[in-house]
Amino acid sequence: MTLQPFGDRALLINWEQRIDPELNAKVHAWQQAIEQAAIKGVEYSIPAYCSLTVVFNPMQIAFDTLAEKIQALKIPEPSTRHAGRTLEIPVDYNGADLPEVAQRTGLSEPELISLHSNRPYRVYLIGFLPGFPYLGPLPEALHCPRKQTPRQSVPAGAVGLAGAQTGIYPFEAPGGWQIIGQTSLKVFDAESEDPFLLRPGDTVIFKPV
Amino acid sequence: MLEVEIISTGLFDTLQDEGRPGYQSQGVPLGGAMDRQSAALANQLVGNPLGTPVVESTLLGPRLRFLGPAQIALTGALVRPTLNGHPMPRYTTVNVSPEAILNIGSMKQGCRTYLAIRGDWRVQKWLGSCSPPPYQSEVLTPDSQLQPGQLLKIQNTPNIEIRQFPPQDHPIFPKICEVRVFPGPEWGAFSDSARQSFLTQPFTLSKDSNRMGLRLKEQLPEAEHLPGLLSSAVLPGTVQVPPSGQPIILMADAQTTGGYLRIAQVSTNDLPILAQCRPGDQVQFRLHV
Repeated sequence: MTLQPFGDRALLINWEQRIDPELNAKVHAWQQAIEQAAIKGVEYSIPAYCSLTVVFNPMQIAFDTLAEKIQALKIPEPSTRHAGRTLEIPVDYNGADLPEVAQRTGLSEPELISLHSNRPYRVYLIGFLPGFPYLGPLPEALHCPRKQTPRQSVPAGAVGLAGAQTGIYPFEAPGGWQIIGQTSLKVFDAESEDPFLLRPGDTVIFKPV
Repeated sequence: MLEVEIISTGLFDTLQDEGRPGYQSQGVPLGGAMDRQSAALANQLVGNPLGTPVVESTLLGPRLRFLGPAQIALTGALVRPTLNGHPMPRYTTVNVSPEAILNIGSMKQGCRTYLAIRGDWRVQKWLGSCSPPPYQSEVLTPDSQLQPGQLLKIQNTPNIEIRQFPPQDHPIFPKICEVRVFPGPEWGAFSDSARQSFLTQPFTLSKDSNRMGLRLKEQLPEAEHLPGLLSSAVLPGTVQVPPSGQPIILMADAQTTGGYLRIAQVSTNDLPILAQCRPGDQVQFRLHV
């Protein structure tokens, strides 16, 4: 684990650079500990696969002081099993890219569906769009490159694949993921006080409908 | 209650404040004024607290009618604004009489103006900010992308004494600007010639630039074989390099994570300079010392 400055108002913590549920659980444990410590001058933080970026106000705290305070925190060993909530997401596997994914992976459509569904995925991070979860680990047989040309518009609730990841579009947006299905569940609800269904560290299980 | 009618809009007029820090772990862009310095100054000139909404206009400003008396201030890009057809001074508190029409006009230098109006703005916010997010803004912040015929509602507060900023202190926004950068997290992944080229050649802003990012036309050498990055945080001011080799400087509405290598991070103090660059202008990066 390394701490380094990221410009003049952020601190970047990097772990070993790989996608791994246990490593990612550490990232979220550190983020929670830093949030709970309520260090004066810390504005927000962004967890990702194996990195955590802490943004601070340099008028209120210096990088070195922040780094010391973070290193002095007692971070509990995270448990991947009990962290976060588990949510079932109903999916109609009718996505426009199912044929392309089948062709690229050499799997039949029923094989694709059974490999993708009924297994736990960790919400590694939320990014790209507000509320868009990056989910994994995805079975290797399903790894598939992004579309050559991104779509102008992907509907809200579309379930897609890209590389080693699967994800859900929170609302209609342009995007390059291979769309394999559609959920009726709202992962983003504009009307709600808390508009986001998922949080980093949650577990998602897709259920075919 | 003061009402201000938008008679006609310019190219892109939005209400902006200081954005929504704290929601970036949910993928929510920071948002807020592109040129934070000019926005803060405008609010200061009318005695508004920092973070009060301002009207941010891009390249061509709107025409507005004040239905009651108001105190306003205009900062940012160089324009020749008129009030009822007469030239209006910038960088000062201006007392406006009822029915007055303000025309901001087209910007001669710089890219964005900021209009502050004294008082307590009544505007719909999402997650604490009126800044329109890049997606769903018509639902989440319906007041914030100005439309002809729209009425802005502002609860008046008693007038303040006129404040002004002397002309010699008005920022100027040249067509070739210099911004200071820190080495980004992946600075070391770039070849010597790519790094040297980054710090020596001027980069031209493409017309695809917007509040999410400024796209640069020139290419860095030896970028096509660079490794990817496991998605990690990006911030306003992050300079990322996609495989095309053409750097992108992320700005206020940027996404929160990205998979391109981050060659540099712009000094926070120099972000307002970038916010005032327009397509065709040139940027020269200098390593911060």
